[in-house]
Amino acid sequence: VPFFRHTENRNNPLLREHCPEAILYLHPRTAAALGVAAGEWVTVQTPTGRACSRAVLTEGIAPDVVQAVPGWGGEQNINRVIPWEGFAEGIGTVPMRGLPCRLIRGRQA
Amino acid sequence: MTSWPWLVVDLDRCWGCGACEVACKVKLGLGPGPGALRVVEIGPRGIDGELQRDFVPVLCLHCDQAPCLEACGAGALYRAADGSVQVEASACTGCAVCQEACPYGAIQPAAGGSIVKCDLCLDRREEGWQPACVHHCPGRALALLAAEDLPRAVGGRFSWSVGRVVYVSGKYASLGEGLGAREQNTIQGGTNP
Repeated sequence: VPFFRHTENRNNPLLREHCPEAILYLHPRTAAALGVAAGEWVTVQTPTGRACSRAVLTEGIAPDVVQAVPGWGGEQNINRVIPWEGFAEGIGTVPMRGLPCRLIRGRQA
Repeated sequence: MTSWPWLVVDLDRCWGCGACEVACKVKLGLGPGPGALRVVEIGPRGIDGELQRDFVPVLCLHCDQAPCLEACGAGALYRAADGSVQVEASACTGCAVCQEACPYGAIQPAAGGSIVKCDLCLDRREEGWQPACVHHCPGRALALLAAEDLPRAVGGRFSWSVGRVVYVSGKYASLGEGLGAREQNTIQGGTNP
């Protein structure tokens, strides 16, 4: 949605109607193996932490990859699974892609 | 010679952001809930070995043969001078037969027992503005055009219309046989981040 930028506008009711909660893109086969149906809660876990999102099933993603969206707060904040050490030199940010993770069915913050 | 406007929906340019929906609701003073326009996502699904994902803005098509007009017994719907189908809210009894008659779900219930549907922003156009959805479409997928500008907008692609709204696509010959028939292959729709 073009009108969400970083954390901006997340409390606008007209925009929240469009995208009410954080979503996680995953392949239907991955979701089936996990027992997660479209729209159900799924939790991403890394050694750093956990974050909850609503499952969006799509064949447009590899089965062993999931894609989360940034900008949500609280238990839906995907930053909670991203390690905050090891800043990339010269860039000043932490790696946010290619992180190994585990998926848990349901909402387990 | 006709000066009737045509709302051209370029399906090749729509990426499903929903800005038109929000612009429409702001224009009509609506909150979350039913509105006069919604973008339907189809796919991603495999067609001939390739992933295809499509978005179709669905709104009142202002049909030449309008089932809602024929269904309304209260005289609350009428054909305006520009060819669009308009609502006379004071005459609407809220009986909802028009909602049932519309094949596109383009007429929705409104607060106060009336209905809400696209009026092609009649008041905005009278003031020299584009309809709100056209004005706010970041992909420029929507355009309100005069008949003489239609061929250039269509550009030799497929086009499909039953009234004042023209869907244009380089991929699908018609909404019914192209997008519609393939909708059953939809894996799962989602919302853009």
